[in-house]
Amino acid sequence: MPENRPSETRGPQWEPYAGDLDRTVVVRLTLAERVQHIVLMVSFTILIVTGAPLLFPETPLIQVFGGMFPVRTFVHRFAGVVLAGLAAFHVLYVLFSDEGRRDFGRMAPRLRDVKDFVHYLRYQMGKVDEPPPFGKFNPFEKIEYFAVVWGSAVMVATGFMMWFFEATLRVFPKWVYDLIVLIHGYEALLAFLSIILWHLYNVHLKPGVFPLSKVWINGQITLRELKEHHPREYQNWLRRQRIQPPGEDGEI
Amino acid sequence: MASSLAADSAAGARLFVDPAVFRNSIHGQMGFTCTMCHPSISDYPHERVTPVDCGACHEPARNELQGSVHGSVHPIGGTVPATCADCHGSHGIRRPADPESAVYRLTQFQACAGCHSDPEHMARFGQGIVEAVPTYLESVHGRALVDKGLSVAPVCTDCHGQPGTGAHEVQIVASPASPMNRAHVIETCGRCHEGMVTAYRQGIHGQKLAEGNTDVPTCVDCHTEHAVQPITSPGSSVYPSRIPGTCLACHEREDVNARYGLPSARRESYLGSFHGIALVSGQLTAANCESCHGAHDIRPSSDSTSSVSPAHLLATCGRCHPGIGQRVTEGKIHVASVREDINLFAYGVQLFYYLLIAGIILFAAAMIALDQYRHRVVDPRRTGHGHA
Repeated sequence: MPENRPSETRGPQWEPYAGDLDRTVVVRLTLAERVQHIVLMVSFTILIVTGAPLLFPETPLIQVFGGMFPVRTFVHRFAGVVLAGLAAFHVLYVLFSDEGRRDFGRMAPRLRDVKDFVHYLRYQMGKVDEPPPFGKFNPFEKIEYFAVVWGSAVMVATGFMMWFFEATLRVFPKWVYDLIVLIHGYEALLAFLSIILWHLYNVHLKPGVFPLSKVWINGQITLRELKEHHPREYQNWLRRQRIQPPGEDGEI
Repeated sequence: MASSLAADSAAGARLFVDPAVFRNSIHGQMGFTCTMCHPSISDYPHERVTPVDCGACHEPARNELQGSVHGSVHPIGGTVPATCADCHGSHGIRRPADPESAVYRLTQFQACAGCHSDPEHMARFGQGIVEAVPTYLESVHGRALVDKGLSVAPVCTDCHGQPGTGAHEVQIVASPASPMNRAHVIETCGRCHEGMVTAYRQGIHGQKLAEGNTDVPTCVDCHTEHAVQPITSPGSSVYPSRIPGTCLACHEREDVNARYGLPSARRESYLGSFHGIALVSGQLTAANCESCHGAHDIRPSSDSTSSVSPAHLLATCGRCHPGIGQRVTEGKIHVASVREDINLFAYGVQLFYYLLIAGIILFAAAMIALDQYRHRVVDPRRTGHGHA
């Protein structure tokens, strides 16, 4: 009931939820979002595997394709088309679905993200005991999301220009094509490092989650996790549950 | 001196001439008697015979041989490396056109191999090369001769002997008189491969060679010598996947590039390109050096007739990429350095990405370290609860 959503930043703090924090689960990622994530993950992995060796042409890495180089090229382009299709679907999802619109709104950068980030640093260093009051998406997740949006746009655009280089060279001079190739490679390296160093650590490897988070599969987190890592969203969830006073319709 | 028949007999030497062998030889068929070649024999039994003087009858052959490496006293070996009989045999000599002849065209290599494949024998003359014949037999020329029975395939003496007189005037390759010497190798190969040599002479390599240049490649520098293979053979030095290595043997050399004002970094700029990557990865249809620059009549891009001259570049690209935009000519094809081969803007983009990538690595490392600090130092007892 998004139309009844109370302000996320003001208003009284609700009393702590009385139920079992560990046994009540809330939806963090909808089915549509999980499917999009899996398609992204698979296509991204294929694109990296079939693309990365080209960045290191003078190493044995380039030999991994054996005599299958044309197959590599086909698979890479196929995965690129899948990624482009996913991006198009995501735009529609954000524009026309309730969950997509709502979650995209929560992704929007706010000034308080800066405050939350500073709070987070102090919390990590042990200067404050209260966890940072992150919403559904913390500042890192917001940056990551927009990095994926930007990165996908750059990779799809430059990728298609490389694929159809005959046409590209009818419009742009050779140096622009060279620049596109350059950008495609560095942007890929950037994306790969972000996933390996940042994303995998923060969603799977960090203490408390290790070895594997299941959120990307079942889309669920417990209320305790919500309360601990996304306090502001926890408060919002409580408010949404208590729009109708407890006991009136038997729920909660 | 153990030159008695008794001593030879004790050593197991063959004492008697097989009448059938002699009868079927060219000399036997012509009714020669023993003493025509062995005039020192006057009675029986006789002493060891004196060397036969073939040149008494075959005077032109003797003259040819005397000027050759085989017929003159070798500076290291101290003897004459080969006599008539070493190649032609003795009592069983046949006409060269006779398949039974030791120098019959299709089996001549065996006569040469008798000495040239024997390491001990060749060592006496300071020669370490004993692989020439087996290498030749594996080459396109050797297989044409042996496997296909092609009598037009070149045999040893076709390349190493003088045209016309053939085998007798073989010289070492270092000798300017050798048909395989750098001064003559083009015309020697051209005796059969005339079209290629004509094209070669028009290209920059051929033009420079005619000027006496000692750096430019001749046929054998790209195609190898005894080992020459067809371009369809993966072992060929000019097989698509091996062409870059063959060209780079010279064009990667800084001294060569500096001497002739040639661009450097051909290796990096090609292997880093899609063409190079695809070729190294086994896609043989990817463009190699030859695809764009040509082969025998290769010319510099400054030559208006060159396939990579500004006027022809688009058509050259279009051979594989029909409909490629004409702006492909606006910029360098070989890109090794972003700064110098693309432009400063691209260099700026590259620096931007360097900073961004370094920043991401440092930021991620710092955040991970901070998180570990919290879980190990600030709050070591807390185990945390799932989810990010």
